[in-house]
Amino acid sequence: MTGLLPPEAALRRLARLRLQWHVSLSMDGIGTRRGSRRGASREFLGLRPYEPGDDPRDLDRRATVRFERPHVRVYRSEREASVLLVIDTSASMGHGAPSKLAYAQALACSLAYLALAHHDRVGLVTLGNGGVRTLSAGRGRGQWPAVVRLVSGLVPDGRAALDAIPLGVVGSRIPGLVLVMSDFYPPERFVTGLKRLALCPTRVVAIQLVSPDELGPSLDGEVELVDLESGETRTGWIGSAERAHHRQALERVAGAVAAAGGRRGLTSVRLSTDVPLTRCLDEHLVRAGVLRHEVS
Amino acid sequence: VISFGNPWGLLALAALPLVVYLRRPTVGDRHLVPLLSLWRVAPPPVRSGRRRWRIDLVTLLRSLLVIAAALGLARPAWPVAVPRRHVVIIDASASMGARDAHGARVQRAVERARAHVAQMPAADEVMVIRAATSPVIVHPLSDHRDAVLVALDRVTAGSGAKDLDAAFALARAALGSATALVHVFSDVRAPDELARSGRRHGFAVDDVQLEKIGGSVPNAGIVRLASAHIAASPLDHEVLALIGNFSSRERTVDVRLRTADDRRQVQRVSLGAGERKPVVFAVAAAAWVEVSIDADGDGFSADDRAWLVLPGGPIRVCHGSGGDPFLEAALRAHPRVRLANLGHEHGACSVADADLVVLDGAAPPDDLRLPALVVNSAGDHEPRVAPLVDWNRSHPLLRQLDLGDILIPAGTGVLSASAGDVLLRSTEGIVAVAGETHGTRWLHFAFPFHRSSVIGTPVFPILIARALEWLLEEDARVRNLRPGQPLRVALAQGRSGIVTVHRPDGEVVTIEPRDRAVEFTGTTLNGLYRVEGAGTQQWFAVSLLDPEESDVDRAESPRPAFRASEPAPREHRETVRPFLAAAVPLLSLEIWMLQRRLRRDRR
Repeated sequence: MTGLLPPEAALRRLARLRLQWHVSLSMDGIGTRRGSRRGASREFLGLRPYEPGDDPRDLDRRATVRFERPHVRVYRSEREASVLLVIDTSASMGHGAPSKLAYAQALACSLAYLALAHHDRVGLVTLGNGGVRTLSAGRGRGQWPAVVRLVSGLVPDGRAALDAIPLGVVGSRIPGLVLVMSDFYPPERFVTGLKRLALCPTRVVAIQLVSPDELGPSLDGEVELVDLESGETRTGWIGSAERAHHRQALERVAGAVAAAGGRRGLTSVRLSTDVPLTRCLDEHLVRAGVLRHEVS
Repeated sequence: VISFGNPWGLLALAALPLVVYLRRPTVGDRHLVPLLSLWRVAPPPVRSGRRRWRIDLVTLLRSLLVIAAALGLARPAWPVAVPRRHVVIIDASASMGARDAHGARVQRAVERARAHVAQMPAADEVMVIRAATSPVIVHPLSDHRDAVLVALDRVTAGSGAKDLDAAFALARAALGSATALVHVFSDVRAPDELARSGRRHGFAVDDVQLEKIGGSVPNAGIVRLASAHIAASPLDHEVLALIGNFSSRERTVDVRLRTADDRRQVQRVSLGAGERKPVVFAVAAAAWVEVSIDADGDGFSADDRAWLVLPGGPIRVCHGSGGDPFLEAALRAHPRVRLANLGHEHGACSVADADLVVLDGAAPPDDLRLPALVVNSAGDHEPRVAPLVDWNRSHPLLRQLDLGDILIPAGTGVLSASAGDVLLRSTEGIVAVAGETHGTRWLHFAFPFHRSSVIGTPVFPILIARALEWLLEEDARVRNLRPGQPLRVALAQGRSGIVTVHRPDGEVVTIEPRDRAVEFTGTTLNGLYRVEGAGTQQWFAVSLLDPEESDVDRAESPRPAFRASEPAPREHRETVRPFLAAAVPLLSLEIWMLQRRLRRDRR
């Protein structure tokens, strides 16, 4: 992980990058960002279906009767910006050289650094075989070592599911930005979670990490394939047709992730782990609108 | 069948399974994928062996490397056809020029040799030797068939006797220690002798194959020609021609003689079957004579003419007189002697212009190349005398002469017998010696004739006359040669310059003398050769005069089976280098492939 993490000098140079919110910047309020979650301002934004974890006080009875399904009112609130980094530590993230998890660790540290550099609150959630580990959102100097300590100890193992994130973790913190770093394998374990996140008044960015081997597999001939998570094996022949099928399957995963946002949408970014991290931050995430160059 | 010089080396092939085992599909070929469901795999094809046994290039290279090393160690040997060497010997002696109903023998020999060569495998090498008096390689050992055939076509019959033994020796010298099949095309009379010649020069009996070219050819020819002085007329000669009839019927032939000054004589002689008869002609002094026979119906003409250079003519004697009047008188008594004294102002002689030197009381110079009669008359001899006690009765000078009562002065000194034959021996030792140095004869008497009693006997003029004849006899012998014999001329002292040899066919050959001598080896034609220049003019005669060659009526043997058409012998030839040479690039390629894979894995 440390090998992938840009040196601090490079991070300082990257500090001119700032995480991008969907809301426009505002200088009033407690924080420096205006989120898309309900807040103290009670500025009504709209209605959405009720999801577990929603404050029952926000239920809109009229809408619930009209749609015959519980709906809650959504308000815009100006509050302290918060960044929640979600890292998938399942066994499939150990694939590739460097592994996708190592890349995710370095990326998470970099994003945390950028957020903390701009006085944002940073929280961390890891999804893996050991369940969900969280680091409460915080800001300031003390948060950076805590983020690094937690991230450094991650190892790929077992399976992960985004559904496992209790909405309380997300809802209680009400982050301004949720960055999910995963390969989203298998996608069905992530789609539901992404849908739930997308319903939250926050911006959800799904960063799909893939290794170069996945983008351009070189497997050929008789092979025995072993699933990293389940250990399931499959023996057979792989040729150009099979490789084409793999590419299509990979596109389907990306499509499923992107579609998980529904009408609210989410930002989906696919990153190859052979892309240098600085370039990833400076180009790919800027192009995806996750980061923006701060105007001096 | 392949054989191996070291079969144990094939044990290295046992490493092949190891190579394959090391490259077997292992855990390394199991691929961990993040999500198996993304992959669809096809079932292994059943019939497609190529796909099923997809060959890994490194494994292939390693296998080839092991195979190359194993074969290199085992030293495999393949049976390969060994190109044979053939020596085609065409007899080009005079008898091969005989013509019968089927044409010239040498032509038939060439045609049969061509047929043999055409049957030879293309890889076989052929050498062609023209076997005459002096054999010549007309085509060296090569597999160039066209050149061989051209060389064969150039072979014609010569005019000399055959010497197949020399041809075998020449073939052996050209081949070195190599073996070869020898094909001889000849009319040789004794095949056994041919086989012995081959064996003598290292050719196996089975490797010498004779195709005897023969046929019925009636022939009469001159088989010997000789001359002798007529005792009653020393300037004249008796010429003896021996005529042979080599046919099975009686024949009558006219024997003709022609002298250098075109005087002619004819004699008719009848010869029975196989009979030989001498014909004698009395000939006045002449440089040479030509004897020919009219033999109609002969199939062989090379022996119908012969030439003879006569030893006659004036003998130019250069006399270094010591004052012995009896010796001078005896010299002048010889009818052929033209005497000139050495050192006199009038009639002085030069050694260079003399045929013979008589030195009375003077030592001969060391470089004298003329026949010489040396008489030791110097010094004061004691008044007492010594009798001759022995003489060489078998020597031509002393035959039928009685020297028993001869007294010679005592104290004249004795001679050494090491240089020649002892002629006379007195009570004091050897007093007369005859010898030959560098082809030149000499006589040495250790006592002055005029102080001995020999002058008062009839023996003395006979002895002197015989001495002169004997001293010049060798000169006449060397001027009558056989084809192929070298022609040698010793130049007189002080003479130098270019010497020309006029051949019988009109060709003129210029020769540079060496060490006051000229040697000409191109005596391939029968006839008269004239040597001129450097103060000399001499005739040389080259004639066949060989009964063996004249007897051309020989049976032709059935044509033997041609051995060259047999399957070529095969030998196992070890081939190691190609395998070792192949191993080096294989190893290099394998290393390069591994490094490339390593670099790719690192990336």
